[in-house]
Amino acid sequence: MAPLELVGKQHVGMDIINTVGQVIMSGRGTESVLRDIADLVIEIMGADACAIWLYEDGVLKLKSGRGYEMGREEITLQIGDGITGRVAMSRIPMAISDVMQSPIYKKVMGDDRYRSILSVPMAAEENLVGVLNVQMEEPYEFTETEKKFMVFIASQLVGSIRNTQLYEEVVKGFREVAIIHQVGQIVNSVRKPEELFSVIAQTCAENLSARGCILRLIAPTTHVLEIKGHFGVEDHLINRGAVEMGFGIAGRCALERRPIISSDLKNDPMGFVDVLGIGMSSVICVPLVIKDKPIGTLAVFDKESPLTSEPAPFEEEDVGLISVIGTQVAMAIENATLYAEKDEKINELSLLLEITNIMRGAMDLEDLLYVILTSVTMAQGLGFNRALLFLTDRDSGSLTGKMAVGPMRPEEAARHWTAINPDGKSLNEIVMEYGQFNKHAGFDIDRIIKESMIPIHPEKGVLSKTVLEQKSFNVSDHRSPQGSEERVLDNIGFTTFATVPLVAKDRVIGVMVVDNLVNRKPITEVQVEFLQLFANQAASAIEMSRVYENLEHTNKRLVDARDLLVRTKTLATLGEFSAGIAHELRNPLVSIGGFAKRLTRIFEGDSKEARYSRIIANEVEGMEKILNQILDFAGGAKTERRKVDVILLLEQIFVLFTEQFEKKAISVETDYEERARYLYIDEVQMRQLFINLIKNAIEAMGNGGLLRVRSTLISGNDGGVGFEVADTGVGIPPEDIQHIFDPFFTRKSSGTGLGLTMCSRIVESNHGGRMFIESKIGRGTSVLVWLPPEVLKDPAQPPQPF
Amino acid sequence: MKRILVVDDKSEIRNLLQAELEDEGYTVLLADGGQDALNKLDELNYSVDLVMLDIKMPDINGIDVLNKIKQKKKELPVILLSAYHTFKQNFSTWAAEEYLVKSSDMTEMKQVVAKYLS
Repeated sequence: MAPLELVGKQHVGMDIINTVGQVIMSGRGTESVLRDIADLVIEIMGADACAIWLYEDGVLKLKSGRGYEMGREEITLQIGDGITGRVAMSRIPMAISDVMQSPIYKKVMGDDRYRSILSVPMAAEENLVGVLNVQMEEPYEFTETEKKFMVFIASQLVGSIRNTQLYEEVVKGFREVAIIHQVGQIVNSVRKPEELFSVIAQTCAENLSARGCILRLIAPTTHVLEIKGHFGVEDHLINRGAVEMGFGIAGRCALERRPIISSDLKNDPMGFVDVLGIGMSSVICVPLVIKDKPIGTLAVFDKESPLTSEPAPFEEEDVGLISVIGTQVAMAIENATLYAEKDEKINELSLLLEITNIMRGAMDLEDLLYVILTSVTMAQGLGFNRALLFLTDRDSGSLTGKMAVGPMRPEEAARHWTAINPDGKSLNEIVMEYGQFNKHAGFDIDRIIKESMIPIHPEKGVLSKTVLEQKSFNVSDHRSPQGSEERVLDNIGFTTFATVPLVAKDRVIGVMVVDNLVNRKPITEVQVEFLQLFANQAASAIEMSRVYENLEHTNKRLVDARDLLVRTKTLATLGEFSAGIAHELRNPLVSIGGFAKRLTRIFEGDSKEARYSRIIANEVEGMEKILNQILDFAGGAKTERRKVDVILLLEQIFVLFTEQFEKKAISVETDYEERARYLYIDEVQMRQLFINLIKNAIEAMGNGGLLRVRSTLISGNDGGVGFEVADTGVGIPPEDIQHIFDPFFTRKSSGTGLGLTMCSRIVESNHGGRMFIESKIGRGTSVLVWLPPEVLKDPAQPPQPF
Repeated sequence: MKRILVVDDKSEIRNLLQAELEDEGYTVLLADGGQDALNKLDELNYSVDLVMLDIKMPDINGIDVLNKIKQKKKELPVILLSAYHTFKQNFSTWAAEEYLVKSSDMTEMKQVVAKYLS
């Protein structure tokens, strides 16, 4: 063999680079590229063999050995081991004319027929890439020029190999990471699926240096493969690309779930044609499969050489790569779909969360029900047109209509839903505003529903079924059974609607019914599912609210009972105590006052003695009054109920105050309930009660004011009779209200502080009623007296037998 | 001249009532307790026109005295005069003609007395 002719080595060098470049950019794997490079080196150097070792995973791996007979197994060499290992370690080229003479020679490969070797390191900066060896069969002394040239080639190869490796990494990354990453990003940024698919097509085409790419998906109803994403195809052509399953390249590919490759579409042996008519010459089509189900195809067409833009044929490796990409794309599409669903779910869930929070805030049951129905009907919420809410009544085994929101007829809709401008308001604010609006809207259907009571019975209809079967129903053109109480639904136009049970702690506590009367939109299963999810939250909120209300009620009664007990006990002790003192004081006071009065009669005119004795007499008189009040309070006089004309009683009392009313310019307004005229009460005590209350009212009003006294029959709850004495006076500070009934609590400079204590005892202890005080500073005070229904009945009369 | 027996365990009350009633022109006899009152009435053979009777007294309370008086001389008017206005509610069950709560203002008392002695 002749030594390398080095004339025009620069040219040869360029040649090699160009060739290497082309080989590398052909888009094939590193190993096939290295094979070509080795061939080139042998040719240029006129060598017998060429080995390319690459440094991977800490060892040298033989990647390409032209001129060696190699088995399938991988050949590796430690750094520092043998000639190649030494070169790799020292990064210094080594030329040995006869390896047999070299102490460091190590037999690495099976056939060991080469005698001379030129080994040069391939390193980029600090990083070892590998070792490039050429060998001759005969002992040979490599020239300096040859050595330099090999070093030059190696240095070029370093770049190329690095590029190849990088390329491979890119391809690998493209397979494993890039697509997912890219698609992931695309999915995140692109909301419309069509855009997403086109970006996927573009990504595939560009990464494979193909002219174009077509992504087809199987239409769910027609099972036609429609182009959903495309790159390198004009938009107006894509309709032509729809193919039926089993027909054409894509159809066959999807049906048989295997890649189809055509390297010459103009003359395809299988008879495949370019359906788009865009002069497609070669194509690889791979199926997109999710969980063994074909969902579409991915076709890449007209591969081009990236350097020359010349058409390049698809190869076996490309099929593998595109298949992998197809898998990734399928996964990406699945993920994207899942993501889109999840996204919707997340939206739904966050809406749910937000509404749930609002519901948790509304503790009053009625407010809560408004929040619930408002959330169901407003556009920012679940968006149904109308909603009804029934709660189960366990005692009667029926559904009781609680609330309804929405118009009676479609024409009324506008009036109902244009009342609030939701711009720039939080969901909470909107719900609250709509809720208030709904509360005061006075919907006709609300009135009708509130009056309805529907027995729960298996044959009675869909509402009963919703309760008994604990599941939702989505019905259209519904007619309630003849004679069923559920006819109320028909009456208010609920024919196409959905029902969901309100389930709290595994118990159905009610039913919600929704429809779309106005926009006639069909209710989807997904909506019903979401409504059910919402209903569960609503149910637990309702349950909570009920428990809370119950708790509050019980708690209030407990507190009241305790207060009453404490008050009664305090009063009793206090009564005994003060009565004892008062009586001890009475006698000395009477004698002091009595004798003082005698003195005033003895001393004439305006003498000192006369004035002093008058002072003593007056002061004692004042003390006696206080004493009487204390004794009234302490007396614990027995209550004797007799039939009393309470209106007459009040009128008599007003006469007592006529002078004061005139003096202070107080006008009196009365409103008596005739049916509460005759009451069985203790007249003396009641007179004292009203005198005290009216006296307080007058004192609260400086100059001018209105005193209102009215009586009323209480309907509902416990019944009974109510009295109200209201003034337009100074009012009581909130901090004083709680002490207002305490004995000796007074806000006046004079007074015993027993007036209202007495009143409350007369009302609560002696008549079994209750007293309440409402007051606003500067606006006035209103005292409410409630007497139980017993005051309407003659206690002497035994109850009439039926 | 009409004779009134004033019964009270407190001397200042007795003295005050005596002074007030004498000003009105009555003859006033005094007793400082329930037993004393009954003794005096016996001595006088119940020849008085009216009895002013305190209720709460240490030896014999006013109600027992009242009952004894009414046994002896039913038509003799008795005015109960007490520091306790709470006893008034039981008044209807007693045989006394009147029940008055003690007061430094003697006007009402004098009117009532006059009613029985005019």
